[in-house]
Amino acid sequence: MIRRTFQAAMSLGRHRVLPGAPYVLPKLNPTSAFGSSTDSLVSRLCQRKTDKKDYALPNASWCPDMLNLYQEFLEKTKTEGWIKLPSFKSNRDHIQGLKLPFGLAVASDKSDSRIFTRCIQEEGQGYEYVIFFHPSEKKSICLFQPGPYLEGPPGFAHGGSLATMMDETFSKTAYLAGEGLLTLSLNIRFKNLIPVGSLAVLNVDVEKIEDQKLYISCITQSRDKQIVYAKCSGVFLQLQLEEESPQ
Amino acid sequence: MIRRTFQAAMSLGRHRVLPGAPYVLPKLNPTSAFGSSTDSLVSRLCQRKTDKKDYALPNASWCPDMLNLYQEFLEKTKTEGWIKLPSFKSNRDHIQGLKLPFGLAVASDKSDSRIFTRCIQEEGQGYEYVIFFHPSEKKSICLFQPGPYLEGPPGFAHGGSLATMMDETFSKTAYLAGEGLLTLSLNIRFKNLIPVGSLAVLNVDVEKIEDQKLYISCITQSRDKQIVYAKCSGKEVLSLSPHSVLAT
Repeated sequence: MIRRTFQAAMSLGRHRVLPGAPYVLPKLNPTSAFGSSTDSLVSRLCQRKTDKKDYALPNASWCPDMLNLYQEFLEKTKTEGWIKLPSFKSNRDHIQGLKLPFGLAVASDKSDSRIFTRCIQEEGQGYEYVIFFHPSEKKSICLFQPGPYLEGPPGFAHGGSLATMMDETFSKTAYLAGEGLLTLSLNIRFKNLIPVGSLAVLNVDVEKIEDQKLYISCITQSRDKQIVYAKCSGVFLQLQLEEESPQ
Repeated sequence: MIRRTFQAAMSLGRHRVLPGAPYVLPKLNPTSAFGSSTDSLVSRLCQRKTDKKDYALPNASWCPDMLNLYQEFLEKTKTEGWIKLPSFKSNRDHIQGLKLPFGLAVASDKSDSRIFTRCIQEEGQGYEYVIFFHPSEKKSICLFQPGPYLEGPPGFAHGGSLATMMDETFSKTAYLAGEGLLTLSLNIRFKNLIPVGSLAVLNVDVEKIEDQKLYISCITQSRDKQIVYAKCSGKEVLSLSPHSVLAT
């Protein structure tokens, strides 16, 4: 069985992209190059009628910094246009009825899979995080508290755990901002170690959308911005999800 | 409390570096720029007298490709100079009696911490991996099988799970090859998705050591090399001391 590669998917996808000049992201245009409005993408990802548990909610393991900043952004969801994204145990729960396009999808056992950032179920031991997204500004903020199962150097988060948090935040942001679906590249510069149990704040911005690619960047800092933990830039491939064929 | 930053640690360390031209890694020189021999670094990391469990051993969840390639490299540990690295539940177990230098270390609860790549204890559900290192060639190979708790796109490994596997393999390789200690940067180009439960092979090479930095690269492929999953280049900062780390 020949599986379709990214490259094949890209060339197939090119036939479906609207012709025209490179698409520089205007702040007030809610429609992505592919025609799906931001509203409909947000609706789809947020699954408002689902009964699935939302893990992006405060619990006893959250440090004071994280609780405070969470409350601040919760206020902003009422007054300044921010949206709190839910976070389900599996990515499948975020895209019910849809699948990867162009033959990339595989039949696989759905029963016991988890999205990597929710792989550890015990409160406070692994990833504690919540993402807020701003639809018209095309930016997001992720509050991230790494637990003791995420260690690299003793007492500090593993570099890979932050790389993963960046990739996941990019992933959700790129999808909502312009149907960015698959990570093409990540370029991470680490500046400082994040102590286990402390809050790291990821500020993410979509830079531009061009040639079926979405360019995105992130700076990760302490809450007071006095310590920069890392900077990252990423590129995502724009692809539309397909409807699953009826079972 | 002012915590020391990478930058502060690097400038402190600069005073201790042996003067001389940039250090290009010779294949047959087993001594790192700082005087610790590869043998002693390998001994330290491998903790041969420990009673800690080694997780880098076959179990029922390993796919046939992984088992076969593992056996191939096990043979090479007898005949071609490769070393199989043990993998403990916590990085603290790898460096017993030692700590991070230059005030970077923090007092922290040791009782319930895990190295990220061993965070999931159930066989086959998270990371299954083993790293083989070649001391004189300064290269390593990591056999990596992502389980269903590492998902991103349904049925495939999360990009971050591969980034983590690269960072961890770089980390151990850089340490053994030249006392590389902390990751400064990672530049990853993803080419294809890795199906959950299949084998991905990471081939890692140390490119050079220069200005207290170790340059390292990796290509991740299917076993038959027909599918390239990703390429990555990284930089590690060296531990910055002739006597590497301070004893507690």
